[in-house]
Amino acid sequence: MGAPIVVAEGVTKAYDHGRVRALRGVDLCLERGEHVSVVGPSGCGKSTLLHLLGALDRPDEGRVLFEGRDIAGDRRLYRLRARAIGFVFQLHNLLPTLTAVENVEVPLYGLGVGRRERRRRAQARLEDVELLDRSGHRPGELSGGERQRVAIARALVNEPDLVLADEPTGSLDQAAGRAVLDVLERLVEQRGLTLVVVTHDREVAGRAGRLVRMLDGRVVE
Amino acid sequence: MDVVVLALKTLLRRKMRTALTVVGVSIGVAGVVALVSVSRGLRGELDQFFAVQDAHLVVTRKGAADPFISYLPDTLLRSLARHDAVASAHPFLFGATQIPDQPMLLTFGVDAGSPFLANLTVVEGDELSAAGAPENPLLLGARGAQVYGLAVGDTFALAHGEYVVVGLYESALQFIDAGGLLLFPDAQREAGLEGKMSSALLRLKDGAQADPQAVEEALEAAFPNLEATAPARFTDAFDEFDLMSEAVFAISILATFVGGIGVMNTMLMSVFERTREIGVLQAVGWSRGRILRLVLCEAAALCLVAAPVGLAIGIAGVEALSTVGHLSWMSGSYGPGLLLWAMGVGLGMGLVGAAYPAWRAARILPVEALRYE
Repeated sequence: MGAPIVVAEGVTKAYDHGRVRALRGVDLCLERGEHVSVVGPSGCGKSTLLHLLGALDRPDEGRVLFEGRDIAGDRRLYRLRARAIGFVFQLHNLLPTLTAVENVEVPLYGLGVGRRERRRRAQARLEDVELLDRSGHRPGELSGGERQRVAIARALVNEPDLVLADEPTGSLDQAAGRAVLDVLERLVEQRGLTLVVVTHDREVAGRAGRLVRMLDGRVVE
Repeated sequence: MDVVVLALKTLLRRKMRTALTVVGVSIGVAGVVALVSVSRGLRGELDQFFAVQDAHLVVTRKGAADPFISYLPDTLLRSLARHDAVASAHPFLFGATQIPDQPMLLTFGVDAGSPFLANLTVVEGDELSAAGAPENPLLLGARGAQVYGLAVGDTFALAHGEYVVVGLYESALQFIDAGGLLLFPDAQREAGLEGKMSSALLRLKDGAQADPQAVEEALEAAFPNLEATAPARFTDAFDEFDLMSEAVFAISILATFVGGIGVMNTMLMSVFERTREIGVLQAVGWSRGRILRLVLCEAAALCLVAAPVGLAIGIAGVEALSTVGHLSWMSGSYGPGLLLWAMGVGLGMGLVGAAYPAWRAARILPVEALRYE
């Protein structure tokens, strides 16, 4: 373990003009190379916390520090996401018109990587998730588990420091979910990345080095 | 360049949605093309109506806003013919005759040597007043003959008499082609305007060498209640033409607005449908500018295909409509201006239509875009 990569300090977030208080003062520190699971009942604020840690949103109060810098002051958060963060969503969220390899290439557009290098890196990541032979297939032609593995390849193609997975096995059966997690954890560990997995699944949560339990917008454990 | 390639891939791989969007945009463009070309065509035909004739001057009632209904007493013809500069004076009477269960017939009442006949080509049968012609002859435009299903030798009942089709003519103007020529007294009887004419057509003694301006002034001095106009100056001389110009402009603007809204709506739907995808692009680090470029490239590609398709549909539609009986007088004007207009409407409104939702989608937070159903 090492220095903090992302820190939340007294973070609050409300939706629907303040009527829905998703986070009520969350403090959390994630260190480099950590594997953390965030668990809790539906609506407890897990996904909202994940979005804030991933610079997809800004807190109403408190601070989120990424590598020591407050993201609230960054007008170009997309650069941070492109450079340092990878996302795996519950519903893979692949672009349906693009092939697997083209989907994996998508984050590299934001980094200004050339066409050949983009393709090389995307193919390497597909090889990592054992889907190189499916690189020309579109999401509609892949199984649920394969789509999620393509999403993992996409999350890793920009060589991020932090990987955030929101219910990555939520739409898969147990065997497929386990296989997806095996791939994700193996690749993250090989690279020494920080992994945060939001889940309802006890088995998935139990695989993490640290468990963060949430209730009513607060970290309780 | 990468974004352009990505945009084209997206379009080509979503064939059905791309095709439907192209259809939507092209229908908007076709509407603009049809309305603008018909209004410009009508304006062009009216501009040319007197210019294609062989008359040097057209005489109308002073202050008349419309040369077709200026209504002068036909007894003026003799006085006009006696003027020093005038070689011959010919009556002209415009009329529109209702025909039961059929489209109305536009009638042009002329005499035997009328300058109106000079630029008509008789393609079948005889001239209007050939020797041995039957009583009540009708020289019918080729398009009019098609509309009414008549041939040379057939009889045609108008409101006040039966006429024999003695020949068929063609002219440079569809408006004239769709109508028929009657001898002047017959035209007066059909229009219920005995003793009246719409205008007098004059040939001048010195022909092309004559100075029409000088003759105009001399005639207006001799006949203070009349106005003489060279055919080429008709557009400037009558308020009706100004009104027509304004109407054409208004219709063009309205058509552009209506067609443009259609184009915009299609693009709006197309982009809103992809809000979630835009959220994904934001999440993986695409900037707003890059997302906007992607959506605009897609819109531009769609509109570049849809605009010519719409142009073709619009022109085909006008041509098809002009074969329908009641609309046989209609003709479209399809100059390069129309092509540019159509491309401008298609591309301009398409880009505006796409830019707004793309801008909006790129502005909303990625988390909201990702939640979008």
